[in-house]
Amino acid sequence: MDEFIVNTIIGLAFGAIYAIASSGLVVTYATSGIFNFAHGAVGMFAAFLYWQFRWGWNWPAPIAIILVVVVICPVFGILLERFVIRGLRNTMEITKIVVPIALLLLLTGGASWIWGGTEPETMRRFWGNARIRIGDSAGAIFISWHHIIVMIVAIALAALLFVVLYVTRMGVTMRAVVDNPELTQLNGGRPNRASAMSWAIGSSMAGIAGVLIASLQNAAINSFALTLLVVNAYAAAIFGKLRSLTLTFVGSIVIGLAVSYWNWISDIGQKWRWLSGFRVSIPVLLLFAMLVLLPHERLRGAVVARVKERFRMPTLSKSFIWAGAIVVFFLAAMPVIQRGPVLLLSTGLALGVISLSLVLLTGYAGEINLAPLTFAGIGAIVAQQFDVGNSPRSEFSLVGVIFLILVGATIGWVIGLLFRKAYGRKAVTISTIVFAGLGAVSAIWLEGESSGAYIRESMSLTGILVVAVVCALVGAIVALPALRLRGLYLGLATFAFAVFVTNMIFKQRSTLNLNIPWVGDGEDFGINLFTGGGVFISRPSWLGIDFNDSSKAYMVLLAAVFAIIGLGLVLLRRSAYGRQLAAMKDSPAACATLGLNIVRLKLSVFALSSAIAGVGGVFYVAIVRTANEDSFVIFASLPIVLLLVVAGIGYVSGAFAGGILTGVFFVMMSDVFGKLSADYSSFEWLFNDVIKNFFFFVGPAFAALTLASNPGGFLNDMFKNYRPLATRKGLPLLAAWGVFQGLFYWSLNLQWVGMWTFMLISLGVALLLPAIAQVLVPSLYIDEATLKARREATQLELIGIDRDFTREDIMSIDAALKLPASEVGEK
Amino acid sequence: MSILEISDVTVDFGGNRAVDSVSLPVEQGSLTGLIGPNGAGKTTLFNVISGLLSPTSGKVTLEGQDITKRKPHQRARMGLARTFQRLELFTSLSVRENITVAGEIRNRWNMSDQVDAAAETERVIDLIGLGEVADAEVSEIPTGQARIVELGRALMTQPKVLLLDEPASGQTEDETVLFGELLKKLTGEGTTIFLVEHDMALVMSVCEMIHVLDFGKIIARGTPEEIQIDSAVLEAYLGSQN
Repeated sequence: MDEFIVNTIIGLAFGAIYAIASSGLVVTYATSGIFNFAHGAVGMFAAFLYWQFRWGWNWPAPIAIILVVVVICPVFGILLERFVIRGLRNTMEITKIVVPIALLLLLTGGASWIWGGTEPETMRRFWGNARIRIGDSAGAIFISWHHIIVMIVAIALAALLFVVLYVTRMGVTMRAVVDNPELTQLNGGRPNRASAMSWAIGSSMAGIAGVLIASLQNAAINSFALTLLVVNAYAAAIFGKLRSLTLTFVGSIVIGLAVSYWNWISDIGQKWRWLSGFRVSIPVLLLFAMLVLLPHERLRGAVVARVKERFRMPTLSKSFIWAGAIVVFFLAAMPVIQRGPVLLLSTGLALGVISLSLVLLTGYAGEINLAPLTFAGIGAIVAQQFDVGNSPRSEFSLVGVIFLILVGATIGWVIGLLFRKAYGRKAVTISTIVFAGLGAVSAIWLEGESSGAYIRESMSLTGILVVAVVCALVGAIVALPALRLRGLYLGLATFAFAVFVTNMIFKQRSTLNLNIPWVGDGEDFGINLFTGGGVFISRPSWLGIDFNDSSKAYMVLLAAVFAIIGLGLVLLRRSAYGRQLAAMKDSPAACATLGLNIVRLKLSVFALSSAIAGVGGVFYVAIVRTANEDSFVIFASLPIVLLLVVAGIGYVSGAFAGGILTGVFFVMMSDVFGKLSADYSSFEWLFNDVIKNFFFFVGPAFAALTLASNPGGFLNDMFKNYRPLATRKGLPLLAAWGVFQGLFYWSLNLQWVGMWTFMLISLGVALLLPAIAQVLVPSLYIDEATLKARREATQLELIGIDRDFTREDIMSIDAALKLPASEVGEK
Repeated sequence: MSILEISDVTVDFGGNRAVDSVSLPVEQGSLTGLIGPNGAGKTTLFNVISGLLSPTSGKVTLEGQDITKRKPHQRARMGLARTFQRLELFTSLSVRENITVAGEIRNRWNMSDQVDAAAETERVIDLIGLGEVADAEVSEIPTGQARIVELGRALMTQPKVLLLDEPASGQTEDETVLFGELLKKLTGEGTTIFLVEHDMALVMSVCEMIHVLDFGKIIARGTPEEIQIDSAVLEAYLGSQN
């Protein structure tokens, strides 16, 4: 009974903190329609600031709190609203999701930058460990003052928020903005001020929650863990449908109590070892469940005038040329490149393959997945289970069995389809089950032969196929409950999934023992997932080349894998299936009324995308042959998504550029400046402390913030200037450039020029090519301009509105109408 | 026999009754019109028929089968197609692809009767007269033509019943006349058409039977001649005579 009361109080205290955080989230979402993904990070950052003031500089607690919560957080909120959030009105959905995520990474990166030293930032509870005693001496219960304070603060804040929203004039305006910003303005309200006010309040509440929850830890704080802790409040906000503060409060208390009681039942995770990650997973599981179960209204801000986000259709011939060019480029680089850059470029290419899964899913089909690396990690585990098998006790590899069952089921399904016309749907079901059963039987027979755990010295092609099949299945299973979700809600669901898999699988250190009744010794299966703290995958040995011996050859293999999958996607985009994906993206309603079963199409594209991510994950891990849990966490996934969107998520080339940006560019930039600072020690503060750290910690996030101005991705804009070169007129110039580059490469081989000089000059010439072309062959670029003018001329009704009405316009109208030339309009 | 039958359909949005126990038949092979002032509930009724909206109560039957509980794509597979008043074109695709993809979607569900989507596309483009803009982006063509693209897309599924939601708005007078001819030709080929339209000249010239909806209720029904002199209709459109 006593324990029950104590755990209830602890649960209520956590619930109260979640309530503070989640109501802040609701207030900001309600007035702006932007879901602040960075809300948790704001709380985290506030906690670190508080630590700096209170424990770093030993200021008195009240001053530190007031400075953080009443001054810094609200000001930050107002600036945020003014300079970032307001710019997101009327942008496409992915931008609305990605920009707040960039903010999240900016804050977590910033915190690591500032407080990333070796000394721990230790938080202490208010009033230390002082406790009060309830009850007589025999059955006394001790409760820390901190828990009590937390609850009082939560209740007081709830009351305050209620007063602000329902009594003050500003509150009335804020609630009015929720319903209709235009109408509010017409009635004399100021929607912008109300919105700024709500962001000030929201940031402040995130700050309070961050400070309270961080002090409750009574230990060293970690920026990522703390961010995720506040993210737990998102589930409560969804429970309140991002609108109702009362329901949000209820949801928060439920989450707090659930975590606390689970802690109590499971003996703080001691009881069932392999469930030890469950405690931290409860809030995200609830988030997933609420997203799936709760009926929600349409997302606000769906009515967008006309967003220009059309991605051009890739042409087949150019795609083949590009695919070849990528492979040739890396082949050419082989003899001259050093080991360091090889590993970097390989990482970039592997991340590019993983990004391709998002080109398909988001670029082509309009669905959202914020956690590509989660699927990559699952792929890596499957490959390790299949190819290496790390459990000495396992009698046979589970993955092998599942695979054979799946193969059986697939064969059965195909055979069933052949008989479908004659015997109807039943034929398909029966044949699928029968053949799956045959697969299971053959599995036992096969495994009996080879006694299970394969140990290979290299990655096998079968292994890759198994990874693709298993990941496709996992993707479909994840997508199944989430099929109704779109946009933001789908993004949140994948976010929750990523956190869940990280806690339950990537951080899994214990062996899961399964007992099949009446068979064996009581521990029939022993499944090890991440027991050694990592996955280990060897490189393949294909086509007579053992890639384990040569990192350079492996880099070229990765380029070939990217080129092949990329080409496959282009072919897919141009097929009937690709057109259906585009149709589904543009209008699910119209698709349904044409007879398309959207559920099946979505499932298939999720499965395919997950398979690509999984295969990419295997190749990714094999670069350095091992990866630990940190390689696959959500905070590693987010920069990939961001930079892919920046580069252009609708294109295969975007995946290439995104992968290279994530894997190579930012690492290399921080590397270069790190080296520079070593050479010029007097400038260390600039090169190392400022520029290097900038690229290392916050570079990707900054790049993504540019999105607000260029939602189509920067690659498209860059390519626009190169396109005229590929025409008949530009061909001589292109050829000249090719000859130059070839000769230059030859001189590099003869070691007339150094590696770095070669790289820099080549890059410079390539970047300057359009400018050179403009000078040498100006006519190349005129066509584009006249085309543009012609396009503008067709919109006659806009002349005089978009631009001034000129004499030429009148003349052209006269000519079109076959009227005698008029003299009107001469001014 | 009526191919499409709406019985006692009621739709509530919160406390607001958008459609109030509407019953109406659409006869096989007919060109039936549905008119009414803005906000009368016409598009809501279309959404109920095509399955995008569940009615609060009531029943929809297609060829005698109750389809009230069926999903939109299941209804489409039974031969029901529609166009949208607020355009729902596939903006990533060209005009031709918009039409082709509808045929490809049809091939997905109609295994026993595959069509050559490319050839069928050319036939439909020819039929609806959009050859000149076939390769344009759908965002570049005028609204009037965009509505015709929606019609072409719906035709690719070879529907038995075609629901058209204000297909002629945005068209010039000449285009409307041609469009009327096209509708007549389609019904001549056996397609049943249920038409919501504001252009009275078009409705009066092509429809055999007209239903008039006002504030969610059917206030009149009859031939064009009967509707034109119906006092309830005049009141709804022109206001009370008193």
